[in-house]
Amino acid sequence: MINLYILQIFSYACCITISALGLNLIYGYTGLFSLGHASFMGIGAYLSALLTKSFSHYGYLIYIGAIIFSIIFTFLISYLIAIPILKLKSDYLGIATLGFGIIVKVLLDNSDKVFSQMGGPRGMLGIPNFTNLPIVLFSLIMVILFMRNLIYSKLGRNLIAIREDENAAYAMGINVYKQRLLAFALGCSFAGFSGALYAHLYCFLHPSNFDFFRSIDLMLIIVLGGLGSMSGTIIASFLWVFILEGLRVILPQAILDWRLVIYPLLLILLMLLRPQGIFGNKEILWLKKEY
Amino acid sequence: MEYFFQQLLNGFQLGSVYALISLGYTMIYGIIRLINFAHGDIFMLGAYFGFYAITRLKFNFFSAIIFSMVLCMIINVIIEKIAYAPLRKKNVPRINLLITAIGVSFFLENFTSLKIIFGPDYQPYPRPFKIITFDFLGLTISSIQIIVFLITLVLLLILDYLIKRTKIGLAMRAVSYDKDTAFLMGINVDRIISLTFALGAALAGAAGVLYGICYPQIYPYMGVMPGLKAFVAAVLGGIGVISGAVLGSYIIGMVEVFTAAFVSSTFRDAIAFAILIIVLLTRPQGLFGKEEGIKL
Amino acid sequence: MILKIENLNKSFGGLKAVRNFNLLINEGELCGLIGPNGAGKTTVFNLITGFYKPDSGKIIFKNRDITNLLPHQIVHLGISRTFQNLRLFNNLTVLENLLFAFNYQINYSITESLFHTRNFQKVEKEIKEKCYQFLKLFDLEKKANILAKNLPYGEMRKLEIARALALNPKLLLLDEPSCGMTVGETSLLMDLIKFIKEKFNLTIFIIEHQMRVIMNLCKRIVVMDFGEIIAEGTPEEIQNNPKVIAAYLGREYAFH
Repeated sequence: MINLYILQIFSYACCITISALGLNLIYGYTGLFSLGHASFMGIGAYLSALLTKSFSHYGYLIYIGAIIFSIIFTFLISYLIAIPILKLKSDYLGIATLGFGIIVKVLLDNSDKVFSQMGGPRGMLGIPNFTNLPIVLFSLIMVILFMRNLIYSKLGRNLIAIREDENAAYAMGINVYKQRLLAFALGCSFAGFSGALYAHLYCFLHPSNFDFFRSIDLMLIIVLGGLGSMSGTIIASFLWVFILEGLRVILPQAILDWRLVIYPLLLILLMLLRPQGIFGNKEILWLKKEY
Repeated sequence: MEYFFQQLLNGFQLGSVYALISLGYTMIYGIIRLINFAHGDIFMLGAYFGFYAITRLKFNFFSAIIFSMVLCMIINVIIEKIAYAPLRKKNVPRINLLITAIGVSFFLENFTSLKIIFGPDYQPYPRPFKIITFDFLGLTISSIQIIVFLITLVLLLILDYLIKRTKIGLAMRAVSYDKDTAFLMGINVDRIISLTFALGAALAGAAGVLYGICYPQIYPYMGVMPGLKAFVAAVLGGIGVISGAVLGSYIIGMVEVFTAAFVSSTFRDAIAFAILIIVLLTRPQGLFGKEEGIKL
Repeated sequence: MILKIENLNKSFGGLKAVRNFNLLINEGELCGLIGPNGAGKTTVFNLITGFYKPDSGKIIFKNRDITNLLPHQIVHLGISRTFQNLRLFNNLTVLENLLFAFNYQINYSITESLFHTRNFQKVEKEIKEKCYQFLKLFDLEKKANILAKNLPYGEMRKLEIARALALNPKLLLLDEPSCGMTVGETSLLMDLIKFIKEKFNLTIFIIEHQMRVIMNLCKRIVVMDFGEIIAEGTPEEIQNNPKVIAAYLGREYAFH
């Protein structure tokens, strides 16, 4: 029983890592302040679940199709949203994405009025259980590989240049706006991917799984891990999931309440003692840069 | 038509509460460029302090408001000194300050949710005075609404006087304009920042009590949504602009009440944020903010 | 003629920063732009490079109207610049600063970078070699892996010029390159500018505060005051031009 639970937590941690890596691409590498990342996870999750539920007789075929479709769809929708929204800078961008996240949550809350299967505030039930540990693990490794290769290429350097100094990036001949759009959409498509995996892991979706607090959680993870560090994000995601979720089964309720009190205190302490996060912008093992 | 004006009145009531909260947001952002996510939780504390003042300490309504304002001030200044001041001194990136604010917010919510503090459950709010309703031109106005309007008005006038007419207000404006120069002019920047946190907290504390008597139910997470809305109002009005925050709050209050009345109450959060996004895209500096030029 | 500016105007609020600015720069020239503080020199640079949009007027580069192009498009056409108060990527290494200059010249696709194909690796290797060539030229190769912010000031200036050169420009705009340098460093800088101009076959347009530098480098000097050109000519002509003397004496040296 416990083993099964740990396996599920581990798979969940993989999903969160994929999402968080996407946010790190957006904020850590490109410097686009986004407080609505979880909503893209929600879009991917609900969309893929709707597909697999509607065409469940195709089995794994529709599962894979739904995942690919979710990735492409979140990429396109976030690209379209980014076209107006990325004209905003720093805090204002954060507020606009936060607003977008809340709008998505409200739409999901009301989704049953259009698609009754989506369940609205009651949650979406009966999603086929396709996701298992090998699949998430394989997905995570592919995502890490792709991200690493992208970061250490022209695209990655463009993004870092933009984060470091927008005007200098322009002076380097970089099409700042277009690269930002691309980074935002790519990062969001990671979230869509992770959402699609997540939906078929727990087989139950609720709008509150993708609300403002989830977006904040993702932001916490990447800051804790270190902005602009893939190793940091991966380790912080796993630590975060295991400490916050994993302890739930082991500890008695009285201590669990205190866990939620101690966790923010640790957060405040870490921000003070290690402002650059666990890894800063360093990498370990083969995630290190080649130059 | 009467229904419409009745809703207008309700919007005004909600807007008043938002105005008191959003002033704290706008002042704190103006002075240290921090989206103080914990501000909504100070508002929650204010509501609880008022609750205990009335139910346990048997205070009357006005002394309960003062009591709650003072306690909120003290707590917010302590938070500022413990959590934010050391970060500011270390000159860390702004995101760390924001995450710390989120940490403070989580702490306040989860700490007060503990059974030995306020407990996680909803509490009914006491009504410390008789509710009388007046009929005026076919509208029903309750004594609650009148009291909310009057208290908001008085607090706004006091704040306006403080900021525009006193030395402290001048110093606050100087610090929000340019911290370094203000320091060179001999202004004690740290004290002014603490003072801003205190002022914001006092208003939020009052807002908490008013919210409690208007919408008589309180719980530890009650500050999240009103906090976000008040923040939206501050941005809508032009962050850092005092009058903008007040007007923005009334706009958000009205929008929310009218969406609930004429569309669906489930959409009220979405519409408020949709308006915010549209305004930001057309006027990034907010409705009443000043445009900032590009610096090269 | 490589650059032609016609009737350029730009104002900020009520202030006319640049008015009726006309200028021709010939291919292979080393042209200087001087003037008292606040005369609008940097604004002219920002207009040429697309960072500001002019209110009216035209900028023509190699027979192409670039007036309304975006900064990165102008870089692609062959104009690069340095900034008055340095815009290096401070938290990145010297080598990375240079690498970024090649980004727009790289043409492997996203798919190729996803899989780090053989072509990708070949291109990356070539670029790194080019970077080291530039570093060697500017005597920075030993510092390739130092963060840009940890360089001494004079070397930061040099790195910024190297980075602008790596963009492979035809026209190079230098905004006060000797600012903050010692006398010795300034002399070396002058030699360097002459050297790169010949080696890379450049046209250079330079804003400079130190008269010694500008008189030594430029055959032709343009003088600005209050957003307008008040004089143009050889160093000797400029030195003896009463308007120029008045502009400088009237403002900067009046109370020394």
